[in-house]
Amino acid sequence: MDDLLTDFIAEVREMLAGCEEAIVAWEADPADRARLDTIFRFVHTVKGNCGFFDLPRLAALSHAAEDALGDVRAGRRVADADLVTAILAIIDRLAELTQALEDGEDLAAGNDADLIAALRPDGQPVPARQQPEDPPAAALAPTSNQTTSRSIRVPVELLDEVMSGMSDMVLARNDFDRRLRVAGASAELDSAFARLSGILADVRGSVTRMRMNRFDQLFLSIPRLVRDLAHELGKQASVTFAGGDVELDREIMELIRDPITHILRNALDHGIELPEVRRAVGKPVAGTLAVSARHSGNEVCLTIADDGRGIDPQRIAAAAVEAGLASAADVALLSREQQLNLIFTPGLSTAGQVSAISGRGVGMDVVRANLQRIGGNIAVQSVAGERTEFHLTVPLTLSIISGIIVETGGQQIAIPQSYVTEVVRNGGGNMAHAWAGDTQLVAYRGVHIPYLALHEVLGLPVPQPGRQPAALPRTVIILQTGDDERFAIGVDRISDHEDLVVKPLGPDLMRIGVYAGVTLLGDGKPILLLDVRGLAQRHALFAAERHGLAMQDREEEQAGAAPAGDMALLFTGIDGTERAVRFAALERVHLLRAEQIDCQGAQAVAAVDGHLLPLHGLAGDRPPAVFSALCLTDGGRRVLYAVAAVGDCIAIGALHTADPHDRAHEGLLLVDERPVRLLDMTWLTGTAAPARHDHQLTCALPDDQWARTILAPLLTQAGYRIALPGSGQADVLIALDGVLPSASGERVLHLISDAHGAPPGAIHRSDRGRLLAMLAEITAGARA
Amino acid sequence: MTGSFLVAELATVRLALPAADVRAVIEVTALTPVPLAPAHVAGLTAVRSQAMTVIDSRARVGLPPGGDGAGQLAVVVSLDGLSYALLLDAVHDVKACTQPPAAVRGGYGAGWDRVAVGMVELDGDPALLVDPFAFISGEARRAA
Repeated sequence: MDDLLTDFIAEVREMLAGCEEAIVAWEADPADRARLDTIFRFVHTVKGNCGFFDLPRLAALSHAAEDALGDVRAGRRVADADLVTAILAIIDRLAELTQALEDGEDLAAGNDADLIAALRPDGQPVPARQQPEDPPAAALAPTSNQTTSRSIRVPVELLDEVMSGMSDMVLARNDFDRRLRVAGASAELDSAFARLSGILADVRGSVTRMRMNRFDQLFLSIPRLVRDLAHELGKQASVTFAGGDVELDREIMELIRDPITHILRNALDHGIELPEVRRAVGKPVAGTLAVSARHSGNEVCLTIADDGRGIDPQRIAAAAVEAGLASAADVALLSREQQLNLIFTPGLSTAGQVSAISGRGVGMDVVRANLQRIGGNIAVQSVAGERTEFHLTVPLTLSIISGIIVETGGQQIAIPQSYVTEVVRNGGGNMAHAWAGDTQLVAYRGVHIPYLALHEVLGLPVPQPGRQPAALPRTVIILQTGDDERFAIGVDRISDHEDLVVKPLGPDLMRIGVYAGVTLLGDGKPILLLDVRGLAQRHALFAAERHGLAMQDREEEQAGAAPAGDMALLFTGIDGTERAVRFAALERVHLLRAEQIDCQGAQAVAAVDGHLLPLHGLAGDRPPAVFSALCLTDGGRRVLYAVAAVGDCIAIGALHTADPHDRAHEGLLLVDERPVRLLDMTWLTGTAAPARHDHQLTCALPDDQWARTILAPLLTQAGYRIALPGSGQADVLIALDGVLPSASGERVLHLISDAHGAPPGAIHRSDRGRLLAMLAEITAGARA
Repeated sequence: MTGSFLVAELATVRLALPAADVRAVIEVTALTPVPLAPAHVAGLTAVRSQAMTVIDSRARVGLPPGGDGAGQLAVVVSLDGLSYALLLDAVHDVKACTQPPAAVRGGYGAGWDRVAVGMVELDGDPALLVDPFAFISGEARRAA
């Protein structure tokens, strides 16, 4: 709190210096209203601020003075000479105390009761100003200050000037660096330059820190806001803080002030319940808001939590449907978390009624847009009836970012380093690449993620004529924009890695939505900075309506979606018949191509993510070239069901039995006067392949005849996945006689064909029972 | 509007730009194209480490876009703290005018209407008075 106290002292000094003239003038003319107001503001501010410190004497003095002056302002009292003298005595005492505070003296000793008593209309007047020869501000002049001040106040403009000079210096350094490299400078010159670069980096760090503000600064205004709002709403709430010492660029701090205020307003208005409601549900009568900040790499994470009623994802989803932002079927397919995060969709309002506190036209979409504009983001989590948490991330500083410069289609573009998780050199063209409808996907660490060829999305010419446009370029960059939002872009090459000074672009160019700004390279050439989030949004890579293509697991999210058990999803089959399936059985929607299907046998099968799954719903028809298939599960087994279109999600009401011999359907549902058959999952999975448990572990095998022909089928039969050659990543590596598979993984199992000289823990390759037991143990460990 | 005007030329049309709005006259030596940009944006350039958007003035008034912009003259104007370079065919000198601009009945033609404010007499020859900011926003702010 030391810095804060220093700020407080500095502010009091500044205000005292400012109202010195007012004090003198007011003494001469107590009826002067403008002077009175100035002095009132001073004591009011001192009172307000010293509430954050343990300064009872300052608080009591300023409070008493504020009360008396308030009476004068309200016309309840006339400012007579005695009052003026008493007030001036108090201001002098405040100045003295502030000085003592700065000198580190103990303020507890001393009594101000006489001064406070003198303020009362009937009080004993203070005989005289205690130091009449010493005007109050004189004692405060820095020159008369014996101890050296530990901080100085600098105009923000000056800091900005220094920062912008710093930016230019970085540019000049980059230019110098480039010229040195071109000229092939001597080692001596290089080392001198390296030294200069090092110093520059240090100074840059210091300058950046100069612009840093502690979160305490932001937190200061919150308790008052919360108190006032809670009062207005007839609620009780307190607020706690953590991480006040975390620092953030002051510019960003200003930019996140409004979003934070907005979230706090929402929390009080919609989150925290009325005291009687809270009592009824067994919560403490006063709600708690918790604001905490912490560093995380190049970002600051801010959490704003309340212990209110939480947000109901189904209500959000319903509001989104009502507002026409998504169809019922779309939102039904979203996970709980995704439904919750619909509150950031423009045009969505869930407030039952617009209140004076929130719902004033500034929605959560604006909050998110403002955060994203500065390279931050926001997400929400909530437990119904218990709590809501908003997680904000913001970059540490705006001015200089580190970035990589890529080349594509003859154009150089900068990409902020913070989004780049990996650069994959696709030298041998070994990255798996697939199409799902119009969306391109690449396999990255065993998961399919959306892929964009940068030159294509920017409308640039094909980089290497003659190559198929569908082929992956040599360099693929994996970008991460959120927890489960990853995508890949392909570029020709990465040409450099630099500190970039980012300047804004004109509105015409910002509006395109894929550029975040412009930056100058070392040679002074301007290049565009890619807006990674904007690019993902422009291509709707993670938008709600594209959920069917998002290859993310929904298994653990299914557990939370308990009410879905009573819901059914309507769909139209390939044969044109409308059917329904229990929503809980739906795992995801796949887009399949005819090549993935085998329908030679009695049971059609489809290859999906390296598995063969039974495919229903074709009914002897030839499969269309591309179609959607529901991936259904009864918890263990998975089957696919081909569909022509996915419809609405409905609640399952009465189930009618029409045909006792129809074992494929549980019965008939009445949907808007139409009979719709509900698929029977047990029938579907019963006709599926022999029962087996899918352990989900992926095993990589060495390239060996025995491993391919004996071991692989054995493991597949037992429910383990086999890593495809070249997929790079596996849960378990199985080594045979010390030969490791060409993949990376954490666990290694050693198999041996000869027991002599075997490493400890090795398993003989014919010991099938022990191998499966070891794998089961790893599975159990992975689930724990 | 009276005062000093910069006389310039675009597609053989004699233009007058309020001199007070013009920050500098530059030669665009290198131009970085901006993919997906609207037609009236020729690209980006930098002058003394300041990046600016280069406006293809021909495209703005509905003419076919000019060349690649490199080597062309441009006037620099500032709008909302950002700098823009307006490509022009030629830039002559600054002339004073004491007569208020006159509107031309029937307008200036579809494209020119977006930027034109009126006609001014400069040294006895008429020149089309344009709002330099209209080249950026696409709408003349000061209609005469």
